[in-house]
Amino acid sequence: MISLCNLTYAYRNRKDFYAITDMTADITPGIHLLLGENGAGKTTLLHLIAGLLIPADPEQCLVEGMAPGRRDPALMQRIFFVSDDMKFPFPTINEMVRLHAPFFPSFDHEMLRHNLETFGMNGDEPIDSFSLGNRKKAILAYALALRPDVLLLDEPANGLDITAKQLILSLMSECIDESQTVILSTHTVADFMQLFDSVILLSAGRLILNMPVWEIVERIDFVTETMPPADALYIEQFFGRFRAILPRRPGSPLTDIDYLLLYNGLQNVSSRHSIIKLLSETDS
Amino acid sequence: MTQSRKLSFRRMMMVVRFYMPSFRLALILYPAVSLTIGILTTLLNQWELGIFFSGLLSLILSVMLYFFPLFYCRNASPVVRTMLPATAAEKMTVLAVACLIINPILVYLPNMAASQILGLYCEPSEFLKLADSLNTYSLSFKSLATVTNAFPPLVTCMFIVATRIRNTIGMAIGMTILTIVVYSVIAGISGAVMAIHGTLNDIASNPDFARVASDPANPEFPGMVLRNLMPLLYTLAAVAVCYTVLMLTLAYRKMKSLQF
Repeated sequence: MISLCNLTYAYRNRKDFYAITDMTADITPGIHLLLGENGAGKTTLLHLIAGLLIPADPEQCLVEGMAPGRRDPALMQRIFFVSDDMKFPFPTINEMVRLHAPFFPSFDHEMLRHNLETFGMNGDEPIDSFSLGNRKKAILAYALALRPDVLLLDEPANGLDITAKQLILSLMSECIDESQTVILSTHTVADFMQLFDSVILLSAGRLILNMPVWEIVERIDFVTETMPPADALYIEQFFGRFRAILPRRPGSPLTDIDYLLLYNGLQNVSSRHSIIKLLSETDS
Repeated sequence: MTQSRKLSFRRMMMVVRFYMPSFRLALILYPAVSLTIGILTTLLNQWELGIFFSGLLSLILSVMLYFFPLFYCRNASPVVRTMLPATAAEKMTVLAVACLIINPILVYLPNMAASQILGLYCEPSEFLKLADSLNTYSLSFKSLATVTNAFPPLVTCMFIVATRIRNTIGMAIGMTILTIVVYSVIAGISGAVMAIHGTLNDIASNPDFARVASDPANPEFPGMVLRNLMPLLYTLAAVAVCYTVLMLTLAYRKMKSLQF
C-alpha cells in the first residue's frame, strides 16, 4: 500500500512552483491508471514513490510503511520503476538476470522466460542491437518478472507497435497478481483499456480523483447518443454524436468506463466540480 | 537504522557484480595499455631523446588514471544506479575502491613490471641515469609527487560521475581538467618560489651550497633543490589527501540524497 499524506514537492531549481501540492491518498494493490495533462505532476509522483525524489518530509510518502526517500534497500528491492530513458550496463537480458535480478528476491526466472518468448526473444540478444520498441519490450518483460510489490510504469506504450501493445496488455494481466500495486502513467489510455482497477487523476500538481473503476461506473454513466442528453454533467461532440457523462440512471445497466471522456470531463473546469461532487456524494 | 541499512558485505559484492560490465573494458584495456607503455618507455629510454617521448607516453597513463571513474556511468542511467537496492555507503565504497585502489594498480603495476623486467636487459641513456639518480636520491619525493598529482583530479572526476545526473561525461572531463590546471598552477608557482627562495637561503647560509649551485651539472644540485621542495610537497600532499577525503564525504552525502 502506498500512503500519501499531504504530499507536497517543489523542485530545488523552482522553489516557487509546486510540482505536487497537498496530495493525500491511499493507493491500494491493483493496477492504477495515472492520468493528467503535461506538467500535471505524474512523473514527479512516480519519482517520489520510487524514491528518486525526496519530499521535505520523507514521511509524506510511504510505501508499505517505509519512506522511499530514505532508499532503504529492504524497500528498494520491492519497488521497480520503468521509464523511457532507462539504460542498464548489461549487454543482454540474461546478463541482467545474472547481475541485477539478485537484488530482487521475488524475481521469477520462469516468468521472464515466458515473457521473453511471448516477444520472440530468448534473452541472449544484444540489447544494443534492439530497436527502441524491442528494448522497451525486453525491459518490460524483465520488470514484470521481477515481481516487485510496487511497479511504476511511465509511458510504457511509447514506441510500441499495435501487436506489442496487445502482447504487453495480455502479459500484464497474466503476470500481475492482486498483491502488487502497479501505477501506469500513459496518455494513450486506449492501449490498456481493460486493465485498470482504479483511476488516479492529477491536474496542476493536485490530486483530482483517486477511485476504483467499479465505484466510478456505479455513480456515473458514460453514454454516446445522437441527441445531447439533458442531464449531462459533461458533454462533447464526436463525429456528429454526443458523448456524455451522466449521473447514474437507476435501474439502467452499468456502462463501460470511458477514460478519455472522464479525463476530458475532469479537465473541464465547469464540469469538474459537478462530476467530483457527484462521485463524492455517493461515497458519503 | 534498520538491519538492511547497515553496511552489508554481501550486498557490496552484488554492487561490484552489477558494475562489472561497466568496468570490464577498463579491466582489459588498462593493463594492456599500461604494459605496452611500460615496454615502449623502457625501449625509448635507451636513446638520449627517448625521455621526451616516454614523458608523453606517461601522460597517457595519467589521463587513464584521472578519467577511470567515467566507466562508472558507462551505459547505466542514473535512475538505475539510484534505484539499485543497496545503501549509498555500499555504492560509494565500491566506487571509491575501484577508483582509488584498483585504478592505480591497473594503471601503474603492469607499467612498472615491464620497466623493471626490461630494465634488466636495456641500458638506459646517460641523461636518464642522471634522472634516475635524482629519483633514487629522493624516493619519497617521487611517491609524494604521484599522490599529489593524481588524487585531486581523480577524485574530482569521481565526485562528478557519482553525483551528476545530466551532462555527466562532459562535466566530469571539464571539472577534472580544471582541477589539473588549478592544482598545477598552484603547485608550480609555489614550487618555483620555494625552490628559488630556499636555494638562495642555502647559498647564503652555507658556502658549500654556493659551490654546488654554481655548477648545475653537479650531481648534488638536483638533490639540493629537492630538499628545498620537500616541505612544499608535504604540504601539497596533505592538501591532496584532505581534498580527497572531503570530496569522498561530499560525494557520499550527495549520492545519498541525489534527486532527479
